[in-house]
Amino acid sequence: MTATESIKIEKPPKGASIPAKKGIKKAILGIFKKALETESLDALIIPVKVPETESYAWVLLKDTALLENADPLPPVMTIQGGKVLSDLTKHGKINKNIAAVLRPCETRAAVELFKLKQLHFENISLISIDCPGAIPLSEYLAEPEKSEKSFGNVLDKWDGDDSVREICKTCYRFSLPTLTNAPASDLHIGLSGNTKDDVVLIPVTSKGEKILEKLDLKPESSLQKWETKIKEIKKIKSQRRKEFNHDFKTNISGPEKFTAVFDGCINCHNCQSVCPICYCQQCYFDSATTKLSSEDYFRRAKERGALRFPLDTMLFHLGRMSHMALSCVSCGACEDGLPHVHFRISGLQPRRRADPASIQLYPGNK
Amino acid sequence: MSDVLKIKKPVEEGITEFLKYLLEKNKVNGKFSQLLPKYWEAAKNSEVLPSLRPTCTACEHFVPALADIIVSVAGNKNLTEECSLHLNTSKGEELAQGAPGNKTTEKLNDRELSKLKELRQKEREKLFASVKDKNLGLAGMVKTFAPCLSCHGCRQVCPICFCTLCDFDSKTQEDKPSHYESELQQKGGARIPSGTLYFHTGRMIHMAVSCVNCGMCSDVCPVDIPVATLFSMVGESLQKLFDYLPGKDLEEPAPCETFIENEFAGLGE
Repeated sequence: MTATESIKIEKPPKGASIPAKKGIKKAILGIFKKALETESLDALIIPVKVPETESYAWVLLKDTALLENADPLPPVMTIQGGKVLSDLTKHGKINKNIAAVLRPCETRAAVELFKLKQLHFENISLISIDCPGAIPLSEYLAEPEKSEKSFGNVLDKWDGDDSVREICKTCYRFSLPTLTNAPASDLHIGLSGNTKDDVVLIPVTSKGEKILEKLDLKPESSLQKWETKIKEIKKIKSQRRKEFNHDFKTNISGPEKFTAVFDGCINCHNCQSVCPICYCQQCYFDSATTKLSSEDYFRRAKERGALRFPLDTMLFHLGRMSHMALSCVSCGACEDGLPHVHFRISGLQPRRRADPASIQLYPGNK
Repeated sequence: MSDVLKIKKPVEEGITEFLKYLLEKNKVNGKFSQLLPKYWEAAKNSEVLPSLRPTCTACEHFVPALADIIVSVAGNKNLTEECSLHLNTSKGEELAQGAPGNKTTEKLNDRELSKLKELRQKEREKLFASVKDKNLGLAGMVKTFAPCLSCHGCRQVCPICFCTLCDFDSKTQEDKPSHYESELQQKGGARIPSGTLYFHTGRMIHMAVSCVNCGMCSDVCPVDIPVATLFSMVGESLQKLFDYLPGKDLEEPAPCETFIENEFAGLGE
């Protein structure tokens, strides 16, 4: 039995092409609506724009009216989708037939959480979608309209537009898992490489095949054009990642440069609380064990001549890294979760990242 | 061999002058250094610097009444000429005994302090008015906290939130799948994670009476929720009910520590 309780199809031969004359998102939502109406699915987990706000929230829904504001691929990643699935099924399987619509790095986080026994996959199908990246959350919040527009451009061009997050620009696992050697989803939505007039639904496992069957959709369209485009983008992004890794390594090597990366850390541990893989109820670094007695503080201060507060910032980041880096899916949630400082004087940058490089220190699986 | 910059001053003064040059010419600290002269100028002239954190522009309690030594800054016209340390307690006096400098007796500049306080009060009214209509009430709260990532950074950096394991991060607050199943049944949909508003209102109930309006919660928020303004506003009204100012008096018990049987007997009548 695989993680998703189903049999993987070795090489997805064909996909079901869906016309998207009114836009790809509408076409996808149309399929989901049909799936809920025909009870092919009991419910769906999908990002939904909160009415009268610019925020996206994860919603488990069966009421198709709620699909009105849903977005299978929002311009930002708010809460990591893998974390959402864990919230739902950490304490046992759900007794409904549910599909979760996730970015590829979110499906991979879900799989990691399953291995870590923080998630139950029974009755859950994973639907992944080609992802061109996400806009930095702080930039989106500052200028939502502009960000929606630039995300539209990113989706059109697929060339790693400047407006997506740094980590997304170098992400080469942005598509169907079997093409990018990452764990599988059950059904994949192919966007890139198609004309803007259609999207392609690709069954990856028997579970995914069943969803298509119930929807009366036949995977009969060739995937060649899509596959060619994906390979093309993957090549560009892999090269970019390689170059980035090389430069970054130079920029952080040595204790001085490395320490400087975490200079601005205020110990909020936001990076830890938004990380999909950091699942501990109480982090060791927040526990009473890490609090010293006043004698210890004095001893340390005496030994070193001075003591910076809060203590052991580096220990936290290095500790978290050694716990997490192996399962890191390079989703960028930690960097999006960092606090930023406002400068409201005109002429100054509106926001400044406290700690811009931290995410890049978690390389994922190379 | 390397170039040498020679400053004809004793080494300590020379370094200070060089650092000052770096700051003034914006060569270190990025654009932040532009703020510094303005910051001191505003302090000296009892003005409200608009670039301060919102809760700081609206802070009325800027004279640390409990401190042992108060460094006179606000409204101090001699700021650039001398450094005045007001020895506020016997501990302060003891510490300063024999220290270099002249000892005089004078009061903090009441007129300047009241002027600044008045300005800050006006800012406070403006700040509260800015959130009152759009951020409060059930609909307003839902919208305000809509972008919340549940990172709980506000709780983590809050000086008053001291619990090692917050109840809202504990197992008690985790929902079973059956909870979501019944939400689906009853409402047709459910937000995951659940309980975002519950966390914020819960934290508010626990914290607001001791909230010192420091602004850390807003500073840390990755999605720009005006947490500090809301806490400050709710805190103020709550503190008024108990005639309580957090941090004012070491001997005064916190309202949650005192039980008065007939307190607020009129409520709900």
